[in-house]
Amino acid sequence: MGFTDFGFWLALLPVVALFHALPGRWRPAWLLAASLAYFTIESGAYVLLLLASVGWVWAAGHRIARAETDRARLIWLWAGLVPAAGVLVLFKLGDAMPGIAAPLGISYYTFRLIAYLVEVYWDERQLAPGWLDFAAYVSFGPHMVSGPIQRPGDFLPQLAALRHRLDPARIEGGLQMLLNGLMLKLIIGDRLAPLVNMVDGAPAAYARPAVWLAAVAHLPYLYADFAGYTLIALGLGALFGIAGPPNFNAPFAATNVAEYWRRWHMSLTGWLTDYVFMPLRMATRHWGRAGLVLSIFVNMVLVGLWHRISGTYLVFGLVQGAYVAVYTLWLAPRGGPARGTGQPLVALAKAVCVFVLMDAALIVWFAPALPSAATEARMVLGLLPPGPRLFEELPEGADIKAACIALVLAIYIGAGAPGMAAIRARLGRHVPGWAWVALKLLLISLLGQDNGGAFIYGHF
Amino acid sequence: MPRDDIAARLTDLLRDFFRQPALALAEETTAADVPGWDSLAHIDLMVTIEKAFAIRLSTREVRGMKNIGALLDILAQKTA
Repeated sequence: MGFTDFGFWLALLPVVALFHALPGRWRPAWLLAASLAYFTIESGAYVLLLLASVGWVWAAGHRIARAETDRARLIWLWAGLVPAAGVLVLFKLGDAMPGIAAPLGISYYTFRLIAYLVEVYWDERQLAPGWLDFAAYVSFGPHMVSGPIQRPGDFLPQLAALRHRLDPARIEGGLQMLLNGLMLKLIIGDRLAPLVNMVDGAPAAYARPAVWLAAVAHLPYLYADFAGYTLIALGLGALFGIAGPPNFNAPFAATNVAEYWRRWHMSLTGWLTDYVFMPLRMATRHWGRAGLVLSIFVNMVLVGLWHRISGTYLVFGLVQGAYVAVYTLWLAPRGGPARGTGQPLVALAKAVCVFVLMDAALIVWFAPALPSAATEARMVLGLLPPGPRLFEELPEGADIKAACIALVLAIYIGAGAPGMAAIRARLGRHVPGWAWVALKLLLISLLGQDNGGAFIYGHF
Repeated sequence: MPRDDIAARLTDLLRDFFRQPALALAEETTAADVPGWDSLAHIDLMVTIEKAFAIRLSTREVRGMKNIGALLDILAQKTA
């Protein structure tokens, strides 16, 4: 039961209504109960595993904070980290085996557990005020499936404040956000899905226009799907009074690969920067360039492998490591204040280069295995003879013209929708908020696609 | 070393490191306030500080420091 199921929204209404109606001091408990109920509906008895992880990390956090020596602090850090991360790695390894379904959002709740432990290790004042708040943080329903990954220092004070006040303005903002997310997912992303799935299924069978169009569509499709999901998750969180961290900031406007990763899946890249890259960089700081390159590659390989432990994601991570290492070592400006990107045309050319590099890497990301990735890459480059099929095998209801429009829209929105803010500001004076809600609902019901509603990142 | 002396040395060091001769530091200054002070520059800066003050910093110290004031506290403690 996910964000695109009618039943989900039907069940959500009373949960949100009661959350707002309850006395403030009951809100965190209600939030925790609702989150755990959602988790149990999705993943059954795994809720016991979730609770055990929460209990263990909670206890380890207290041990770290109470430790009197650096050594004891470090031992309790690892005692907390190893089981939490170990369970995640086991399920990621088990992914390759049929019949084993991982618990809902295990990657994301593990990221939150690790964030908490490390933050407490760095500064014991980060200790959660109570077990209930901590459990509500780790299991927070709106962010459970695929993030975003909120830091404890951002979430816990907001949760504590909910005991005293709940800003009703958050609800309208949240509603607008989740409708924007549904539009991005159902109107745009789901129009690109059939094209991408069709060609990726048998790339050698398709003529050049189909292969090229699908290859270009990978990145905008993933953006519309995942950024759409994130907006829904953030909007849902806002209905419960929690402002979450942004996950995407106009990634297609990035003018270099390092900037791209600061704009794409930001809550994960920020997490990796703080908890993997920086400690590694500190440990290797006297190794010169070798330490820098090693840290970059470990970081980017993890960016790939956390999706699933497989050859395709390993290669994806290595390619990203090479991108970032080459940029950092030879192309990045050094020292001094950051320079601007220069002329608009130069910035545009750079942004197009970054887009092409990232789109190219997604051929292997989307491929079921390395040989099919190699086939698709050779089809794109024209190294294999074109296949006979074009767009005639698209499933019923999928339309190639609509897919092309969706592609352009996804790129435009992913580049930050230039010019849109001014239009919205001008219209905002005349169009009330409820009218926007009605318009978005109308658009979703008229133009939304029904592809079964799965999110790409729902599997990770 | 007195805290004021450390602050003066640190200001010189940062001005040099970030090539900003007019850079002014306050206790509340954070990395976000200084152009060019990103996560990569941060580590290089810490190595430079370690060499200049002949000290060793741990990851916990480097990550736990929230602003220039916290960095000065650590330096004052380590050079005492």
